[in-house]
Amino acid sequence: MLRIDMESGNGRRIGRRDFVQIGALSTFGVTMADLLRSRALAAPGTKEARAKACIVLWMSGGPSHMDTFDLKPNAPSTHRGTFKPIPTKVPGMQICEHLPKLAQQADKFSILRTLTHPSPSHDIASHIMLTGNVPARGTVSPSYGSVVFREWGYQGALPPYIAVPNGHRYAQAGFMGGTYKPFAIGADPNAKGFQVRSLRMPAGMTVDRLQHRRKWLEQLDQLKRRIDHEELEVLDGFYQRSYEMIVSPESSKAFDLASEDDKVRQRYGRNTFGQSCLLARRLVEAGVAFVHVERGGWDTHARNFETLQNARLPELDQGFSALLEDLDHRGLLDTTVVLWMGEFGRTPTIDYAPRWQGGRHHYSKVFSSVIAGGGLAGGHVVGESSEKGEEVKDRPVLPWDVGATLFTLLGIPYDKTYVERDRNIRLLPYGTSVVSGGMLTELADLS
Amino acid sequence: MRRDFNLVNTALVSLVIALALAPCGWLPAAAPQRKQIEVFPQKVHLSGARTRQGLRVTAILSDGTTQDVTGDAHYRSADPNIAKVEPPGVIRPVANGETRITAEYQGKKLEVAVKVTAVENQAFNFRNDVLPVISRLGCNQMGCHGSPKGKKRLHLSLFSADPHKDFLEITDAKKKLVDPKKAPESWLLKKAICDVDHGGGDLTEEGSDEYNVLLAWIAAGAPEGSEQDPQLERIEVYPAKRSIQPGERYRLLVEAYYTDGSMRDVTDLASFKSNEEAVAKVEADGMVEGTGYGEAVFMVGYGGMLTTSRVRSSQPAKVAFPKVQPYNKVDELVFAQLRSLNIIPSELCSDEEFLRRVYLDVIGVLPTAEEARDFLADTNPNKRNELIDSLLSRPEYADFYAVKWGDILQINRDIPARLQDKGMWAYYRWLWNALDQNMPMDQFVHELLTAKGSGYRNGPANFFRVGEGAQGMAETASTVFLGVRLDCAHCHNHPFEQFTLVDNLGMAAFFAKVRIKRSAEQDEEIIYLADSGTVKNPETKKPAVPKFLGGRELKPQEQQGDLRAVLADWITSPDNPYFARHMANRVWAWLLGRGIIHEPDDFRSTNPASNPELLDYLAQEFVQSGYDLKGLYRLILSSRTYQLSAIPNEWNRHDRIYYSHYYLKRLTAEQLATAISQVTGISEKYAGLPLGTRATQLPDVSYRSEFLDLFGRPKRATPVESERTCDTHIGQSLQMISSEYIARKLRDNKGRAAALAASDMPTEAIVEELYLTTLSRFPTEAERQVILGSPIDKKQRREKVEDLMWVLMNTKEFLFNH
Repeated sequence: MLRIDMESGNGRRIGRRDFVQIGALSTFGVTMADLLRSRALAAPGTKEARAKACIVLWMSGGPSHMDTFDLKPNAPSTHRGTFKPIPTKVPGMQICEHLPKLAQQADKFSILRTLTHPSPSHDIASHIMLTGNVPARGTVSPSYGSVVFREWGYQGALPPYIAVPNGHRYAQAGFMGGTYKPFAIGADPNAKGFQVRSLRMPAGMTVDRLQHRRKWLEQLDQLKRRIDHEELEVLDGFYQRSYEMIVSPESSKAFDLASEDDKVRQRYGRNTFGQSCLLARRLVEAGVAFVHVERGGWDTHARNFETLQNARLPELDQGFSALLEDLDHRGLLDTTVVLWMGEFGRTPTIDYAPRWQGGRHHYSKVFSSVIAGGGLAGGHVVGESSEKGEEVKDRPVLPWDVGATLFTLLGIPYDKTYVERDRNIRLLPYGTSVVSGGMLTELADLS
Repeated sequence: MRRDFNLVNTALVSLVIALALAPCGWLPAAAPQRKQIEVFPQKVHLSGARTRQGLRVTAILSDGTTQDVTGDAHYRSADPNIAKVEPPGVIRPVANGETRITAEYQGKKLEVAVKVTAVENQAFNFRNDVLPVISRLGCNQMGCHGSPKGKKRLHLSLFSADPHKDFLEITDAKKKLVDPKKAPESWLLKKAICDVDHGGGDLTEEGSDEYNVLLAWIAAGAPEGSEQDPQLERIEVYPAKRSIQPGERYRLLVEAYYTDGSMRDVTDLASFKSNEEAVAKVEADGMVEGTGYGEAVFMVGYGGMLTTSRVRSSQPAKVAFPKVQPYNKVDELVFAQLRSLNIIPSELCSDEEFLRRVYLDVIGVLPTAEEARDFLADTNPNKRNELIDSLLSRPEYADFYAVKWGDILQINRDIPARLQDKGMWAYYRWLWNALDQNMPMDQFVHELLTAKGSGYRNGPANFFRVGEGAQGMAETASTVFLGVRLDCAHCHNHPFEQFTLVDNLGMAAFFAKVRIKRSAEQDEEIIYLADSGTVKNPETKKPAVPKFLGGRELKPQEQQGDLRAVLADWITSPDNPYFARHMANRVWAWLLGRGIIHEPDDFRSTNPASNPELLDYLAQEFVQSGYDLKGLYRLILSSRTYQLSAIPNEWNRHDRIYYSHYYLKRLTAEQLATAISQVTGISEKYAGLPLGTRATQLPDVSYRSEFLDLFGRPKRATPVESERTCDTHIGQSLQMISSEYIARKLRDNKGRAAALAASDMPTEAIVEELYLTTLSRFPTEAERQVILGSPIDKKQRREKVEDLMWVLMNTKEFLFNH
């Protein structure tokens, strides 16, 4: 049946117990469980997985499709806005005039112009876009990164899923539990003397002394022996991982932006978004599987055009284009999926009421996203929106179509189910009777 | 929901109560005997020719369990010329009159009185006969023709909210969906069986019951029916309460009752949903299957009405339920439920555990070493109750709970509330004083809801600066005072929820006259009432009538003056179905770590209480006390249930909802920051506040603190409590292990570690002091051995004290309230 069921699922929150039991069997905490898991399943680098990493550039608030990647110069003035389209390196593909550097990288990315889902509310829409699932009552789905974390586990000292500079409410582990949450670095990579929170030992501390404290703590930590509780198990796992991160040279190296050539830092843009993109590249280079780059400020109800032209678009142009160019230059683009998206687009009609002064509001019926790398072809436009950017004209792309494409590239079966307290929870609705435009087979052979 | 329980067949209710009170030792060794049977419904009134009625026959066994024997019973009609009965107990009308149907099972017999009327009436009523079929097929769901703009050319009201409009839509000649002359060719039918291309796929097949109803209706000319036709009055589900075992199956029966006294078996057309599929699941046809132990509630919906059916599945009793002395009525209600589920409660917690727990839960700070020593040494048998009283009268109580209330009232100077400095402080000071002086909660509601004037000068007036527009104010008031989230009904109705857009707008209408104006002072806002004002219903374009949530509308003559006061009166009246229960539940959740209704601000029919009797009792006590908030705390804190150990036993370790033991709570961000400052002796400096201000004393969430953010301090963007998180993640463990935040407090020369190391106290005494300060207890012998096993020379002492302090602050015993 063709139906997006917003009300499915039952009203129960899901615990973590089943996900951490393996950890309890091992002195290494989560490590052993992850190792077992990553061997049993498709690990990156095996023939099923074409991509080894993914970077999500998350434009929180919802970027206007009409003013970025789907301009409508022939639409009436109530719709088209003040920006003009410009040609790109790819004949026939046009984007906004304020994205000139991206235009030069157009052969590396493809535009999805017909994303569509049912919710114009930030919360629900973010959940849908970041997890590929419509939220069921009482259940939060794991974001893509948490799934990859769970399937692949740790590949070194660095957490497999890192949020830069901060996480998002729905870029979380959902029912999979705290173990699979992203590590949010919580510091501005553009700040002077940027350092990741607590990743280095504090002044005066030595490895020996830390080891001594750790040993003492393990001997004196009584509560867990008396209370068998999943949350305590999970916390133990975090402690194990934390020690490893603190003493490992690879983790401090990965975060050491100061070691980058100044020209490179400039190329990415000396702003939070640009340096977040640069850090994302360093993390992927260091073996991190999934990086979530959080960038807010796209909720342009008021003064849409000024905000975009003066703030959002210049930094996006610089950071995103540098990331694509740099990944490609280093031979990483083929194995790294880069996904640019927000929770929805913005209304094709412009609100000139005094309160909004040329604003655009929430709109999820049709909007754009950009995907690159991981073996996907660049230089394509998937789908077409109607003349005023109001509807899907041709080839809808549902969020789970993107999710299924992503998981297929990463070698994770999109129809996998997880058993949580006697309930089977499917990874994605893709492949069931849900509305779908199909995976992005225009960009790669996904069979 | 509670109304529905009054309809329950009394025999079964008494059975369940008997079960609950029965001694639960070892199960009887002998096989249970069948003692009696019962049948539902006991009286049947069928009206019209197309009706039919199913029966359910249940055998009650000697051990109190039940068995569905509907399929095995024999049925006989006393007068088959009036009504026929066929297996498995399906009654069909034949002619007007009265007769009796006998159900017999293993020699036990019961009679059902049957009345048949209007059998000559073949007429259709769209609302009663056709729309339920369309709902059943799913045509009017959100993703289909019920979406706000419909789908393709058909636009139905979501979940049949507007039957008349749906009738006009379906019979609209331009849409050509029904053709009485060639009924089988009608597009409605062809779409439903996907004979023609249908985006929704094939929903049914030719010849199915649903198909036949639609076909007959179209052939009859697709009428809407007459004004005089009976209307649906209520629905009932059988059984409303039952015990079940894993693997056991039975089918629910849903009965619809109409204004003319007739009834209809609508089981085939109703929708079903279980709230706990790990206990029992229910299929689309009402078939129930036990899947585990615990309690579950099935939501049953038909024709826009809702009812519930509860099941309980007790785990096998391995040991006798222990004799536990209840401290008060709370315990009697909690233990009765545990007993019926064979869940054994944990032991009473130790004095050390109680001390730390009650400090953290009531005042949000740890006891000092001195306070701990005094309490532990006290031999007064009433010392726990005395401690409860003394903590409730301390100012830190107001500090700590002003944070909780500040969260849900969204007190903040910056985005999103934008109260500005002066507004924030005015609001916070009013709140703090109200809590400190234990303002009765009815007065608290009145002061907030009827406030006027400058947000800078009159604290509670800021309530109206937080919610946006009348709908926003209504949504905040509903969430904060009634525990009902109306924001989902902001846009449309929901299939399993009783609250609709009309309810949302009805509540908003109480705030329709509230206006905000600017003053000469920078960003000052004045709340005042306009002479008139309405909230427009976006669907009907008419002004919404003020309507109490789930209750009546105001009459025109009542709509004068400040309607906010009328609303406040209604909220705080003893009969209000939500306020007292919600407040009791909220405080229970704060203290016990989980609401009897969970989340505590999510009261809805699909989210039943885990122990309804307990919730009712707490609410009743709260009302009778004159809405005495501290009295409510006292009642809960002095219960044995609150004072149970956090250490589970073999039989209760999986329990997360029946309060068989105290559930672990990670310290909140503010509790933890305060505790770290207490232990290290070094305060955190918050910009603009005097040094020594504790995190639990922060008036809003605008004070920069990476630490507080990391441990789940909310942004106060919504009145929903779950915006504050108490989960754990790797950023927190890194922070605790190696952050400068902790390290500089440990090594500070003015701190506790430096002072203790430099003192002339023997090292053993220092260890004791550290344990009392961090964990509120003395170290055990084993712990002393670990720490003092190797001698610590004077030069090392400072480092070792710092290390031990670090270790103790990183134990789970410190990070969690237990």
